[in-house]
Amino acid sequence: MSGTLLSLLIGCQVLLVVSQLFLKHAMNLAGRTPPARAGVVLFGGLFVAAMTLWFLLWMGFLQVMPLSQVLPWEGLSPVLLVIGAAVFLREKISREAWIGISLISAGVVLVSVS
Amino acid sequence: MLDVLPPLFPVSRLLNPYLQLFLTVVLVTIAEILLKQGAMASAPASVDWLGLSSLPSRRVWVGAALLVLSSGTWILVLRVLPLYLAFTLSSVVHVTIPVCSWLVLGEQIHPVRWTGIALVLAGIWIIARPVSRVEEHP
Repeated sequence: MSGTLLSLLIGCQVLLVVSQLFLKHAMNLAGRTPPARAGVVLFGGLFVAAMTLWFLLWMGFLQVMPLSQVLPWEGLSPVLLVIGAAVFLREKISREAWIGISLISAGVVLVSVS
Repeated sequence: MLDVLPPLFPVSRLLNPYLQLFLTVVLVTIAEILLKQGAMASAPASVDWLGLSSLPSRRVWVGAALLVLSSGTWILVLRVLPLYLAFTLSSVVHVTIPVCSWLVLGEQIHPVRWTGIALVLAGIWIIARPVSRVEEHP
């Protein structure tokens, strides 16, 4: 696997995680009383932009690799996302949940070994 | 942890975040299979990183529409569940997509991959267990 392909695959996962953080932040802002409308529009828009770019990159991968080899790279995303949720969204993550997340990521890496 | 978890049956059962999470997983799985079929049918001779040549395929459009729909169900999930919980539970797509790739597309799953699938399921079980315990005894 070439370096370009590898960094694009990782970049794709970062993009996916960042878009989810934008979306959840927008939902949190919408849940405030009164709702922070401008913030919801801003972060909702950032979510759509990040997802669109992610989708086009993803289609590029699907054209050149089997789905069961592209998908495993999403294994990076549970760990990246939980770190992001803890740091940026201040979500509380139990020790048990960390164990589960490690298992999921290890599992997804194993799925990717071919 | 109790205070962040929603009750098992909110006012409207259709809006139950776990039902919406299930729908999201089903939609995403079907969408990915359709996208792969569409992308394969339209794969260009040379590499095209943005995948724009996949856009004429009808399966790609249906797959994309299902992905848009899954964004809607996903938003209903995120309205209630913390992101880390929703996202880790949605990792079950790493089981459903390889299994459906095997059943529908005929892609191979060797023993190492099955082991990985088992680990993913174990991780999801560990995360889901305390949630279901809280919900059975609110």
